[in-house]
Amino acid sequence: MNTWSLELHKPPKHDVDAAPIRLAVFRGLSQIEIEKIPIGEFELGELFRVQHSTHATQKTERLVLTGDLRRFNNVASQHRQGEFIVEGSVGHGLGGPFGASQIGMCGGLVYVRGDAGDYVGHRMRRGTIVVEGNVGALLASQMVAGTILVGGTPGAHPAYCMRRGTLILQLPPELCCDRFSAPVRSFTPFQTLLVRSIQGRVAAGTAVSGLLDRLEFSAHCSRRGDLAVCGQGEILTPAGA
Amino acid sequence: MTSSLQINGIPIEATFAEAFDMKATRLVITADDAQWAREAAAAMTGFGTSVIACGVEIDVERELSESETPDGRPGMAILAFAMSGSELEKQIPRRAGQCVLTCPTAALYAGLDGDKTALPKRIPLGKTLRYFGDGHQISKVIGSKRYWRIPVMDGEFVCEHDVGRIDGIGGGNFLLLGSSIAAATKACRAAIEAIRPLDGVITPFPGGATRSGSKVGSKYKALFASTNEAFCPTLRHLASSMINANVNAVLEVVIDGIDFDSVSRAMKVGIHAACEASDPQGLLGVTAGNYGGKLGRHHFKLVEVLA
Repeated sequence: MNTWSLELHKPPKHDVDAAPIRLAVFRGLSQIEIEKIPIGEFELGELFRVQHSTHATQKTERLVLTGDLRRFNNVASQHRQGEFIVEGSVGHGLGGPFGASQIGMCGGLVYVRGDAGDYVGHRMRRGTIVVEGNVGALLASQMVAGTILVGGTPGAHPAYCMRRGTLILQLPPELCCDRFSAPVRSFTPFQTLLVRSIQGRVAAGTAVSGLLDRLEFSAHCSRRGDLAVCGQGEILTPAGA
Repeated sequence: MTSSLQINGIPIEATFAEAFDMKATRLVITADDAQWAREAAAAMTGFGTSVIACGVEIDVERELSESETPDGRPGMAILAFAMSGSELEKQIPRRAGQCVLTCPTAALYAGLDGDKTALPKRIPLGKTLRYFGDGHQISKVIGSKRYWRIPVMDGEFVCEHDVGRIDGIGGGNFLLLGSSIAAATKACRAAIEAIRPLDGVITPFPGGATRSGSKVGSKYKALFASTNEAFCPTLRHLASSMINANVNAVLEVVIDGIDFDSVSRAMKVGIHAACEASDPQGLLGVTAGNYGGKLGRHHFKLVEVLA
């Protein structure tokens, strides 16, 4: 399977819309064509060193972004399949909708080894987002389905207008009590299925791997919402956290 | 009995078992402990001996350890066989709904790997059972699999959306000819004990064997199967009888399997175990049931199976 590696060599001085960096766009393009993809006022090759490789044993396509990408917004927007790995931190709108679309990420895995800004998983429909560090405000806002794990702490108003999907956090977040159910302690075999599907992709010794270990066979606390939109989304935290 | 082959001095008739095509699937039931998993499996596989009246032939394939199940809990693998895909699609959701959904802590998963591309014919599980959740059910896609989480009174019933089905083989068999019911029972139990650990096969009758081996058809028009008088000791005076004066009890081990090799291997293991556990005065012979090759296209020749 294909792996495209993009290493940031010229950090921009102002914010850049990173939405054009998509596996779906890269597929079928040559390295020169990829380097010419417009990204804001730049071409991709001006900001990133692009490398392409193929690995026979790799089961899914992979796009790896390396560098301090905090000025890059809309990373992995509308990601559909394969793995989108970020070796660093990203800006706002991780895994959100693309352009005027109302559908966010709808499949695959997005993995951020650093922090992420506001609106992580906005309108997310399917797939998994893992952020090892902290995330900004409005995490999982208007989320429709999928799974988001955060190893650090979320900013204000997580799960705002969340309809369905699963948000897994280290600690119970501050939520508006009228819009989310009271915490319910429970264990479901489903959490083992969920944890196992992600565990192999998480680096050992990180906050996220610790979070998964605590959830694999132990009880969790769940809060459902956002009730303001008749949502059935769930926010899971390890019981006793 | 025409035979040149013997095992432990017990003659093996040079005949064949006649088996036929069926549709098959495998399910995995898990639960918090092995006892609940066994209870769910026992309910699910109840009244599943023969397609003649049960609709489906279904039994436990084997117990699964925690490391072999999707959710890390003790489990049971179940194989089910039916004459048609539509019958399987009718029977499995019914049994799952009444026997697994109802069993405390139980969850239900597909036991055959392969998505819609690999196994396009699907049998609904959570696809139909989800409606029990009355709108509170939650769907979740992990990888290429969709699961349903249905709120129930002990927490959640977790159920995979559907399971694929494959072509299987039903009706593999061998008959144990005993000088007494005790001798036939001893041989039969040894055979079933040896077959039990094998993958890919079930022996759906009570204790793995049936005493009411049947032939196709009947003098009564409403019946399409009736007693196989050729092996009934009380009818040995009939010209059609196939047993001699010393045979007083015949038990038939019936084997369904996911492919020819699985059934063949089970027959070999079962016949060897039966013969080795018996003596020539107790187990007088081993033969197999067939219908002259008119019923099914899979012929298990005992001489070849035991080679």
